[in-house]
Amino acid sequence: MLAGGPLYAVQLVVNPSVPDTKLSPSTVRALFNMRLLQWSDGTPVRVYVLPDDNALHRQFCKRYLGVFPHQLRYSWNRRVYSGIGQSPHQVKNVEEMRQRIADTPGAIGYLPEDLIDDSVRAVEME
Amino acid sequence: MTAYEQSKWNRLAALLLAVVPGLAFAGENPEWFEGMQLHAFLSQGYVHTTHNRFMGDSEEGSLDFREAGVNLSLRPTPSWLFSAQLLSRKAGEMNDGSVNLDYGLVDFTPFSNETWRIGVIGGRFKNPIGLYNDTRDVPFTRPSVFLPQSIYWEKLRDIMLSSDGGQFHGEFFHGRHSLLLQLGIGRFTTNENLEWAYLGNDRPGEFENDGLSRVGRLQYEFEEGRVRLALSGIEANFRFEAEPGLPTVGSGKTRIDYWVASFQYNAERWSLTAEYMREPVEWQSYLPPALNDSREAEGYYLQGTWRITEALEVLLRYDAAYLDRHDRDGSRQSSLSGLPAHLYFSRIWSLGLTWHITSHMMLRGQFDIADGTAPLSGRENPDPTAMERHWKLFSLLFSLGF
Repeated sequence: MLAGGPLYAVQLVVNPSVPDTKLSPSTVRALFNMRLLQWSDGTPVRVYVLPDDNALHRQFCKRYLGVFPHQLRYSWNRRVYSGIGQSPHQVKNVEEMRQRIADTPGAIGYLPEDLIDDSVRAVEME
Repeated sequence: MTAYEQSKWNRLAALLLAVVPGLAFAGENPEWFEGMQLHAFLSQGYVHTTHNRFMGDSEEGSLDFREAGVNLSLRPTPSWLFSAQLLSRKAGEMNDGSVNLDYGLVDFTPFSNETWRIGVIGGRFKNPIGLYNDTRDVPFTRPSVFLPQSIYWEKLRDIMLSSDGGQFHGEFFHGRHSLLLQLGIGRFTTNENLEWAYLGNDRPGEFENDGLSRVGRLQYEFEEGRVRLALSGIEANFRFEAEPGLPTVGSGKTRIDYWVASFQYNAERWSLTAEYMREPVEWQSYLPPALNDSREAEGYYLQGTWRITEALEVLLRYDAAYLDRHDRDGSRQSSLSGLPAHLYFSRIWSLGLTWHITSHMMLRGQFDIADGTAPLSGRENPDPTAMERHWKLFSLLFSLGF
């Protein structure tokens, strides 16, 4: 799975408690750049990502954010190591991603379409 | 290094070595608390130079280049952030490895949505200068073992590092464009390295802030940093208070401005980076009067990096620095001081290779061919006449981080 490409298309998912049902491309970029920190109802945003070299992560960066993984890493590192921000929570694999999003209010991440079940909710980008 | 410093370093290293691999393999961010994050890094360098001393006794091969840091941040609500980083840095004769508070701040960002963020920071914050200064001591945020000396001088690191004071920050987003403004005011961190850099040696007395200094950066980004343009600057005032009763050494004031223009383009496989710096410095009311002068230093570099695979990255860079841009070959300064002209300029070609062994482990090499010795510290090279104009550097850096 790591070496080859992902078999299913990547889909943005959130914890079912998240009030927003549609997100604009600029909102999605702001969320994953760690600069939009709360949902419309004030719940803190919790961002989950796979490692930089993961094929699904690369596909997500390209399709939803229009950036390369190294650009995101630069921006997260700059915030974290100068003390002005935090980085997303990194998970090891898609199973952990689904579990953490299902368990954490305000969570956002991404999954291959075939792994989406009732524990999480798919979100469309406008 | 004294035995005390050695033991202090060893204790910190042992602590980090015990903590880093454990956490790195246990998972990314320990979830003690959803809004809390812990990060740490540790690196050990090896530096070998054909001539001249850089980061210790490098002509014999030096291991006196180490960096270790640990930071903790807490975001109790989306508008408040508390963060602090402890840093230990051993850099030849310039930094002794003692533990310092790198930053310790409170950020309050009451206005925040997807089009703008506005807030204030209080405490010790990193000076936002150029593309790399904010995180210059964190190995995997740099492109090479050592940052380009024309902008990020090792011997001037301590003045550029951080401020104790307040900062305003505003971020504005529109479509694929973003603008970030940071404006800070405060007192800069000072130490003997500044005396060596601006007064030529460690004189009996104190080099300290003369009132408040200012720092700021305006940065434009297209498509989250595909194109990045920035203008940043420092306006710093220092005074030297000589110890009383020494007629040959007098007090005086030094005023330093520091301007950097930055450009970066990021493609999937390669990045191109260029920065240009000007630094007007003025010395006033010193004794002997010959010290009172003004000059404008200049530096620039052009750097290309190529990501051959996800794990391997090659770097090529040309870096030039002149202590007086109206005297690039150093001849005027040399005739005034009687010291070699190569002390006043440098032109350095660098070739680098980075291997990201895992996402927590990195090995990096850098090979430099240098003409001129301007970036080298007088503190490490106390006899300028013994220095060589043409020299080469080979360095390795091994880093762990999470």
